[in-house]
Amino acid sequence: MNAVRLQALCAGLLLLVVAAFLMPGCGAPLATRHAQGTVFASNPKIAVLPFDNYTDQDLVSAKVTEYFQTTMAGRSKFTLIENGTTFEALRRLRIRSATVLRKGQIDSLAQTLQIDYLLAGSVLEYREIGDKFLQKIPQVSINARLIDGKTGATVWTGVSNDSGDRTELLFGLGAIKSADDLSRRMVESMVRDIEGLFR
Amino acid sequence: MRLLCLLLLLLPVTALGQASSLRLNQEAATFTAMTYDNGADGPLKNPGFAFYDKRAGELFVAATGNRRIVVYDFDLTPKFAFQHFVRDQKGENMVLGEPKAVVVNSHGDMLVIDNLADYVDVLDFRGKSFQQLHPNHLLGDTTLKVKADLIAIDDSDNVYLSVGGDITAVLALDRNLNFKRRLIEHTADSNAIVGPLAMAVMDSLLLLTEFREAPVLKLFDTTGRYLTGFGGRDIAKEDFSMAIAAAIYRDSAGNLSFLVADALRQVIKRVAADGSLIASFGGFGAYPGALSYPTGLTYAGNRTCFVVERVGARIQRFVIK
Repeated sequence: MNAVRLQALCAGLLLLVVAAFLMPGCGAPLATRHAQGTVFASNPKIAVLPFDNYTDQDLVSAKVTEYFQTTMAGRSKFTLIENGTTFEALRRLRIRSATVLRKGQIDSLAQTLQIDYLLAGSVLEYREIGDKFLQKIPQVSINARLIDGKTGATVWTGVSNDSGDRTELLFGLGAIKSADDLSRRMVESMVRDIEGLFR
Repeated sequence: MRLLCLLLLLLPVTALGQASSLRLNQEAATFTAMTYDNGADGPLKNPGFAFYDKRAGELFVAATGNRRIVVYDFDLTPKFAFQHFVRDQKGENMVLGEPKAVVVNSHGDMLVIDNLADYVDVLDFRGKSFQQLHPNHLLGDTTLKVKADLIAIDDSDNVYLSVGGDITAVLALDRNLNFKRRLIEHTADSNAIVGPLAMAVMDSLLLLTEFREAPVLKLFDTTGRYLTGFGGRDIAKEDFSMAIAAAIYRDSAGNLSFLVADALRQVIKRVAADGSLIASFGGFGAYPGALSYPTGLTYAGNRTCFVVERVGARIQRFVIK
């Protein structure tokens, strides 16, 4: 009888461990949507605009923009416009915010930079909250959208909200403990999705 | 104190009297646009200074009470606004500032004077600070306690800083923000400056207004040479009570004129190069075209000027006739 109980206990524990491994995969933090029927050009030129910052922390949008720049730079499916070139064009055209882009501004920017798409977005949350067990849990929220330089239409949107403890397996194992690390992973996931749009 | 309160209460009344006579002179300028919007979260609070960037067609306003710089297009639609942060007294943390004045160079970089900072903050076109100009460092003596009060910029990006404190002087900086020279200093000589209240620059001419002294308007060239002065402190129409903002412009015939905002008389005066009063407009009130303590004034070209009212908490656009 005791052997049966031990077996049941072991089976239960095993089930728990399997569940712990499977749970982090549930509830994907990235939700994306792309315009139906859009034909995405092959090897397009993309410019990453500086992300807007809606958090109460300085420089976090600059960090996220930098992550997008570096992550997208090495990809073969599109050509990235150099950050300095984009900044210079924005300065010349006095485009300060990527949140509200008028058609005229998109046209001018696309013409100046000779690009097919603009990647714009904003950082909504970027913080590390205290936790008794994990010490700190980062929470990051990023919105991004890909804009067609010719039509001015938004052809892809990505909304990513993630927390460092989502990937935790057991006892802190697998948890992400810094907002920088978490946002870098979120950006990588978004860039992979964008890459999938192009042939 | 009671006397001062009574005086302050009476000032708008006297201004109203002047306004009624000024209404006869309404052909001096036409009101064309107005806004109360701070570009972010509601109405303007204590806006104080205006600068029009002719190259980009943008109006920059130091909204001191909102603690932000607001950028408008020509039609006074807000385009962009950002809060201005400055280093605290210890230089450790960034705290919300109170921007007092802003000018913009041809690259779109903003130079901001803030009430809570003893340096001039240099920001890129998106409002990110990348350089700080300490007047005492520019003067080569870090023991001096000096603070920039006024700022002006010419078409070649030369910057003019009026500093006060241990030294009252106007400093000239080149387009790379390197110190060139001291132009005008406070001396007993009436051809110098005592307590400057406003500064404007155009075509190698530097106009300064005095707070207490007469003449109120003093014209220098950009090497610091005194050219002429006019405007007394009496009650005549040509005189001034508080010439708090000024602009220089040339009309289509090439005639030089000065626009001066008198905060206590609640009017904008247009003065000819010889000091004679050409016309006035405004008058105390809240209706379109009237003014309630104007503190900011900038000329936008094509006979258009923008006026910022501190108490009226709005910006108005006028076309000068």
